[in-house]
Amino acid sequence: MLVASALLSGLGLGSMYGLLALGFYVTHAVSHTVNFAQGSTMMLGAVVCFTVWVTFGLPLTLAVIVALAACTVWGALVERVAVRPFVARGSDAWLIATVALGIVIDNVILFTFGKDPRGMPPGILTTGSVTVAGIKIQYLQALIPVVGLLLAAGLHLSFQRSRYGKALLAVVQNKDAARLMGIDVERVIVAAFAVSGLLAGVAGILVAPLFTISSTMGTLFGIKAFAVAILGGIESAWGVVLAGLIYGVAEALIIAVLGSNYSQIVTFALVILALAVRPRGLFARAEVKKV
Amino acid sequence: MWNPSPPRCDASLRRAWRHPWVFAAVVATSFATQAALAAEPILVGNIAALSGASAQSGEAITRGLSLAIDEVNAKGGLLGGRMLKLVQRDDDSTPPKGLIAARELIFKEKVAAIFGGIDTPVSLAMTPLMNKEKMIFMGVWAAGTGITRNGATPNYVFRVSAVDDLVDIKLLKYAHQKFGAGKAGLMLINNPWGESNQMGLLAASKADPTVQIAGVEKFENNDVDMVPQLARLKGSGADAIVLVVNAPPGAQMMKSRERMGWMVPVISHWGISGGRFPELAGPTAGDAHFVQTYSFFGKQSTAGARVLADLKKKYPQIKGPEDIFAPVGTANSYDAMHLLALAIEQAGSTDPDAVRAALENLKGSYAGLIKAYTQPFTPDSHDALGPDDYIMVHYEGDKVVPVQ
Amino acid sequence: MSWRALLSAAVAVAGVCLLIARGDGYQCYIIALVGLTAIVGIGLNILLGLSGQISLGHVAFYAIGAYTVGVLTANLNWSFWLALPLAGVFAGLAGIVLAIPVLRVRGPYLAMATIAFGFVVQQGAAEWKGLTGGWNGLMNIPAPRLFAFEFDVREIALLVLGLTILALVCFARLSASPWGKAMRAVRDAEVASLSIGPAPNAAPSAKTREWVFSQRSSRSCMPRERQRPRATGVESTPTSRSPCGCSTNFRPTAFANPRPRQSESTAVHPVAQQSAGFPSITYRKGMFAVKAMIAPVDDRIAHPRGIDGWRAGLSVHQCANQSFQIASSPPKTETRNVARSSVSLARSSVGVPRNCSPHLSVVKSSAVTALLFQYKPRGNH
Repeated sequence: MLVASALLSGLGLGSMYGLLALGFYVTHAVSHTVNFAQGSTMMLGAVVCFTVWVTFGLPLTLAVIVALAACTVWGALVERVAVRPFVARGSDAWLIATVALGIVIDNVILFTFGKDPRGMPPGILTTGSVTVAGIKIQYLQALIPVVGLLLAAGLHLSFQRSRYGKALLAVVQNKDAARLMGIDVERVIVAAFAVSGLLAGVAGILVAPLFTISSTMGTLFGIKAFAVAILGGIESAWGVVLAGLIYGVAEALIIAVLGSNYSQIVTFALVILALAVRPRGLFARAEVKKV
Repeated sequence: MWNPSPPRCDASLRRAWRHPWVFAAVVATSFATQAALAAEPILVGNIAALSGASAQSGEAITRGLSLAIDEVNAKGGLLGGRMLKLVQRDDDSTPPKGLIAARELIFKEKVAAIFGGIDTPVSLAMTPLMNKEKMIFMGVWAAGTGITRNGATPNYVFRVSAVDDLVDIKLLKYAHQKFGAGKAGLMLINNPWGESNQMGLLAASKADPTVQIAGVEKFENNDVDMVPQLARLKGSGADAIVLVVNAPPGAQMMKSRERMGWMVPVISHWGISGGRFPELAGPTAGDAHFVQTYSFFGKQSTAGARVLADLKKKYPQIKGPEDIFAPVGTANSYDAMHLLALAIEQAGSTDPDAVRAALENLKGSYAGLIKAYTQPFTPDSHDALGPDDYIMVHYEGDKVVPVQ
Repeated sequence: MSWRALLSAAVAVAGVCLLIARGDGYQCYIIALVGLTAIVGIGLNILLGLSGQISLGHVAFYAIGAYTVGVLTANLNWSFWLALPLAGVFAGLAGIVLAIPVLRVRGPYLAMATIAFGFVVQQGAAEWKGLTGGWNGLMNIPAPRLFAFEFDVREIALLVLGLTILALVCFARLSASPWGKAMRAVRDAEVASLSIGPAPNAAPSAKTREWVFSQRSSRSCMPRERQRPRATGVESTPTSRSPCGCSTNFRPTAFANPRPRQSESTAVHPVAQQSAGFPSITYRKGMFAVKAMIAPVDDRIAHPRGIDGWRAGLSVHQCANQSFQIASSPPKTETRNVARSSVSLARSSVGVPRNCSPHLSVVKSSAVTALLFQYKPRGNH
């Protein structure tokens, strides 16, 4: 029973890690940069949703839409401010710049939203539950992995089928050739960052009822999501999602068996071990490297 | 790094280093910032968690201190007309920041005494510094036993607040008296405060075996799901949970307990009163009975009525006792400030040794908010409150109500 | 260092000393914190700047050093002055321990591995209550004592200032030493330097193609039409005169033209009896260790042939078996000059011991080419 409930919560959290890691994948694929402000974007989504819904009293659907829009815009802003100037100069400072921007938004939210952690009001999703084989499953707990996988599949489909998705894939494969074919590479990169922001926003809104909402909720989540992206091999989208699920389940099992004090030690030690064995991630393909 | 670029010429940077003017400018500007001379008012410092999970508690402490300072200044100040002034610093619930704030207040601001300490780890870290630099440190919240019982002589750390060892005895006794519990499962936060209470609870159970300890489980601040720990406690036959944690993880624990459907009584330390516990924990928030030193509900003493009226006047958002969050902070700091003021008057100066001696031998009686203090501190005991001063309360909706 | 730079440095140090002397406890504390952060930054610079390895968990080494001193002085009552270098050693060992599993990891993967290491160290220290005091930490750590004089914040700030200056000096020496050059080579083009295997130590180690490397790098810096066999090839190696402005760091742009044309190779190839290879894998191991210890060993003063060369010298009689082979196509009369200049260059950059007078022999250039292709990159780097 313990293992089953651990599996369930692990799947849920893992799919959220996977969503954030998909954001990492998308930005890395098009521009070889990683948006370390992803955790803060997730926090932004949760905070904006809470503010619009609870503080301003507007309906939940509107709150969700506004939160997702804010995260998308923020993702594009991160690209414009923290990534583009440095990539254009061939510098690697975008890494620290995105970290810094994450800290900036954390503190902006700290001063505007307030210092106390807040909680989402209970709703049908959190109070309602089904009992399956003796385990009580809340609606939200069942919803999270479903939404995560649907989003991942939707992203995959849109990349394969839609024009913009194909343009993005083209940029991923060969930036210069894409430019020659008339694809606006800069716009594609902005779009990729916006999509990654959107994914982070969705993860934030879904996870908010489980956690408490505060300005620091995103930091550790972002680091774990980055670990998931690395484990999955930041070059493979499905690898990333799968790695997220594996990581979430592993973490939940470790907490169930060893207790939460050791969970971070064991999970991160396992990450180092995995990288030692498979330096390019668990699901990476062999890559040709030009010397 | 990831995209190695050819090394750039850093000749321009090398050129800059060759100018001695750069260094001269840096050195000159640092001399320009000299500490101001100690001004007339008596400065009193407050280091507390003004942001983060315990931000409400910090705000409550500030309110209590401000009220008391206003009263003292209204009566003409101390030591022949010197007004009291409060200097605040945020310790962010982390010991390093607390230490930096303490050093700044001691050396730069040159305060006469420092109040504060919400988190036990931060207070434990600051205590050696206070004793070394001979600064009066008046704890008004953190209950870790080792803060005042720190083995230093002379000891400059005092406290008007609960003491973990005594609280733990009270918690176990209450679990037995109110709920008839015989085996308590401990759910503790994995930090020094949790560890201090673990020792206290185990010692209390050993001293009075009416309540046994079924198991000890720890969890982290940002844990979401505590079902594994609760399941283990349930498996070892616990019929009550003793909780020592702050509000956000405490709320997660209540949610996990609700999800499990294991409705055992929960007896808690006062950590859960420091945040928006009812909002975070949901409908089962009222199941947790916790300890307090004071409640603004029910019949108030003259001091209580006066303080309530002053609070309503100074902070218009307070319309009644239900709007006073973390009342323990306000009550403790109010009394602590008054006791310090009396000690300074009795000592005749702000010299730390004189004030310490005065605190340890406070003459007369002070009708405070929590109780009437006569000789609150002695050379052996620097804690003003004891087990008889604790009350048990619980949440009804958003209000903190004494348990009947 | 020019006298102007030295003057600026002296002025800065004097200024800080004055600040420490006149400041109160809080100011000295802040100055000490700034110095400590600078020392950590200098260590990180060895990793990030010199070697191009990204490390986001660097603070873990800070913690290891701090806990070492804390445990040794508070719990075991050691003297601070013994514990301080030991702290560096332990942090260095931790660096080696970290480097072993992450040897093959690059880029964002290395970033994650180092982040994970930081977390593991932090949580491990918090859970290892017996040693580190858990979340409470270590308290009542005694201040350093010097002949019964106990250090206060002021003296500690001065000590930190001294250590910062030491760290800066060590970094500068490391950067200019063969180790530093090898690190930069690995940073700039790892695959190229792997295939060539530049050694920061000297001649006794085989497979040192540093001379080929330098020759070829200078060559490829030049425009194509001037890449002709030159008898005075060595003179062009001090690449400051090279038209493309290459620095004396060995640029592995050599591999832009991997197949040498026979007529081009004027190469000096030191061959030794002992096959102590030095692939860049060891550099990366060493890098983590060295950066944590802030380059305690200065090549020039203590070990002219580097640590590995010193070790090699223990087993091989120093000069007896050294020989230099030179392959060249230009007329023999010029070859000796070429050879001598090459050897002197070898001495100054790689550190051939001065008391060695290697004998020279001239071989056909094709032999060198064959040698080049004999040495493949080793292992699974």
